[in-house]
Amino acid sequence: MKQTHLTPDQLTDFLNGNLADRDEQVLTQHLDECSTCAESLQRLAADDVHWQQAGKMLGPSPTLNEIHQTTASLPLSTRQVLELLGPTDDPKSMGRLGSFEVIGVIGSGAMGVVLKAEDPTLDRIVAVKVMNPSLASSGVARVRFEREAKAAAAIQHSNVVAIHSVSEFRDVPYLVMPLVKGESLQRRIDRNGPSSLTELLRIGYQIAAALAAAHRQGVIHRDIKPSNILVAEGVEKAMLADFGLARAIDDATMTRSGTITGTPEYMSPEQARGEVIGFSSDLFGLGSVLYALAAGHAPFRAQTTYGVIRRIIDTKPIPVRQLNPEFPEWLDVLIDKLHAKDPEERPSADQTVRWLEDALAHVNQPQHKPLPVELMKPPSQPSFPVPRLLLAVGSFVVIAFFSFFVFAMPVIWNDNEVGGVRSTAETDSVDKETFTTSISKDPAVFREIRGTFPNPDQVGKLIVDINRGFVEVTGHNSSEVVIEVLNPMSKLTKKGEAKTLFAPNYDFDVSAEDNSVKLDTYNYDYNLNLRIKVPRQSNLEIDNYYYGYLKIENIEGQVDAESQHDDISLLGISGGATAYSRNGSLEVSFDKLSPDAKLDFESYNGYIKLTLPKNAKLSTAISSGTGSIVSAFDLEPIDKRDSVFATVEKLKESEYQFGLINGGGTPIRIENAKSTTRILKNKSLRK
Amino acid sequence: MTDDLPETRASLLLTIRDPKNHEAWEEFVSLYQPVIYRVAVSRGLQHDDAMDLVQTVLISVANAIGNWEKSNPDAKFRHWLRRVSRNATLNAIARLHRREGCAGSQLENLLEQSPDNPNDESVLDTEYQRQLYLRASEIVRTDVDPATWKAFELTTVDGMSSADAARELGKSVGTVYAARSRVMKRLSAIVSELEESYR
Repeated sequence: MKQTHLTPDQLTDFLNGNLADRDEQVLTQHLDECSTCAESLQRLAADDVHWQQAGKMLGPSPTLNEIHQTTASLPLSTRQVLELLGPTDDPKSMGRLGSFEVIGVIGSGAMGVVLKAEDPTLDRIVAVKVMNPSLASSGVARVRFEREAKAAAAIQHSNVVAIHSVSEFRDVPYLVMPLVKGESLQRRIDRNGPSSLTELLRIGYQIAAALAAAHRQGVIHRDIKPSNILVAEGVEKAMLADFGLARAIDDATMTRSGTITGTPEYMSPEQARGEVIGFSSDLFGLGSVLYALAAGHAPFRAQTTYGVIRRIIDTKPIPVRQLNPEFPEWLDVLIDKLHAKDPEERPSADQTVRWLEDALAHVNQPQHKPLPVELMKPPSQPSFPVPRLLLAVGSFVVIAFFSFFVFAMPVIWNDNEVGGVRSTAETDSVDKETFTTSISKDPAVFREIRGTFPNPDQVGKLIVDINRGFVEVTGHNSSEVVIEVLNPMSKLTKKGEAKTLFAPNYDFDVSAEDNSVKLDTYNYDYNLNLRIKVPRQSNLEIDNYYYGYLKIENIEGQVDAESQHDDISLLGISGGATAYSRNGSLEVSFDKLSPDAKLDFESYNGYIKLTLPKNAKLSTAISSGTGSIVSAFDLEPIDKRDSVFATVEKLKESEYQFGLINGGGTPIRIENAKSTTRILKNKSLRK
Repeated sequence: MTDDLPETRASLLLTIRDPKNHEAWEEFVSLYQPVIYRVAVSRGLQHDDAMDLVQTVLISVANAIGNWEKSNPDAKFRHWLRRVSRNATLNAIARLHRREGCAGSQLENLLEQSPDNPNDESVLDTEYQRQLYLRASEIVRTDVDPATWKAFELTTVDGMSSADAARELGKSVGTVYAARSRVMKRLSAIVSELEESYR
């Protein structure tokens, strides 16, 4: 029986299987002939998007069981390269590339794939970089790849990763390099943080020497950064890799689209502006590498690519001496010279090699080897008035500088008024109702803010929410809160002439209701470095979202600290603490604690170091990711490099249970434990 | 991969106070660990290293549960679990990128930008989505008769036309339409249910 199209109700009932057998049969027959109704039925079951999604999601994909037998999960470029390989008789080989037997994939990227291969003629293992086959189809990219690689192959230097040969296989170019055992400098910095001065100079010297050799051959590296520097295993030797290849990739993949790929953090200003670059661009990069070695991070950082570029072009980084006073002033002078915005003003690679050599000799024998005179001069005219002051006279005068403003500027609010906020600047205004300062647009006058806990007899609570920059909090004996901005921020105008100082963006609230002081900040592009003094009895709550450490000391109240990207250090806190550090270490040293003090510590990818008094009641100390607990109740340090996950649970008073899973296979040593400690598990996960 | 995990999971359960949450955790882990594993493998990890990464993520999540239970007794455990696991996985993968580096890692650094390699977040979300579908398909598949499932699979997954599938299965086209639509409806319902419960 043929009928007109099915009604929506019929379709629904049919779909849900609510029909009697006979009707079911009739409708099924109708669907045999009526594609309109068949389509309506399908749409009723799910919309197009879901149909497609289901097909895609349930379709051929690496499933759990077959995943490591198939190459489907590999990036397309890797699959393409592997498909390119010729047949082989060698059972351990994945295929043959020219005369090389490919035995593994080291990595892959937009430009190509790095393979591990055996060179049967010389019986050695090498790294082979194969250009991405889809890029190789572009003649320009292929020619440039080969030309750059050949130019780089001409550089013979012990601090340059050699290129054994450059060749083509089935129209796809590849280059052969030694497989160097070691790690990238980036990785070392991530792992160990800032370097010592000697190590910094030694690595800097070797890279400068590599650059001098390259520049003599007319080769510009174009992409000097820690991840392109290889630190060989066992020996103190740094090697520069990937000469000129950055440019080859640029041309092939990105400049056409006008976008920058990869990290711009180590670019020179001329590179960031997309201008023609020369040898001196590499020297700017070297300056940034030295900075990264000293600081543990790149000099120009921001949340967005645009932000980074703007900082590279417009600003100078915070001097390393300000980050770590142990470094000599001349290191900043050297970095400053390398970081000259004008490429013409930067020293040559040869010059830099000599300076670094002399500086190294000077550090080893200060009596006999003088420092190069050029490094003794104060840094070249800095662009901004305040940083110059900071650079030239150091922190001692900075304090005086702040004080000057505190006393010289009219005070709007009277200290004694409850909830009063004293501003240091006439242009700042304070809302009497909400006790909020609104920061003036002319920030040059703004250095310090003060507030008083509304009720000095009560214990207050300070909540700080900071996006980036470090915070140091110290307790003191008054009811006043003093917040000092340590680095007035600055920026050049486009012409590079007029200078403006920027105030950090933040709101400062004194709440009369819950007796708390709240500081909210939002500074993605600038470091907001704060020193805060609070009443010792206060409780603190600090949340640091972006880079910058937290250091809190001498507080009698309770502290709750969280840092997403940097270290936390807690000293002399007696009211208990909760701290979470992600990608940063957590160091705790308390010598006395109130009996009911709560202690909760957690670190992800950072170590936890605990020094606690005898009566401490530790409820949790969890270190996960790649961190470890290096010291808990006088536990001996465990090698930081290995993963140790530890859960500490309290059984009874002064008895703790450690659940340890030792990912790296390092022995866990516990000595001098003052309480009963049982290791539940010490299991190596790797076979 | 299953020979390593149950033991860890059992010990991790000690950190979970609420017994109701034990079950939710077990359920979630069985759903999520293949997701983490696949993301890890898609990022170039070998089987053993991917297993380690799964461990790392699950341990960090499990460890956070105790704290969470104290502070949020009323919030939905499953929702929290999914959010935290997602972040923990992304962290672990991001960490991986930073740790990469061999001779000249220019290439590796560009890995993330490669058009062949969508960012971690979208890979993770796709893999999660895939897992929801896989889980849902396990459920539906055991509920319907094999021919019905096959009709769905041939047409939706393998891209065969309904007419060809009908011929292959020896059924009428109408039956194939009916079968695939009914499977699809149940599948989407279960996927959205799963999605909702771990939102």
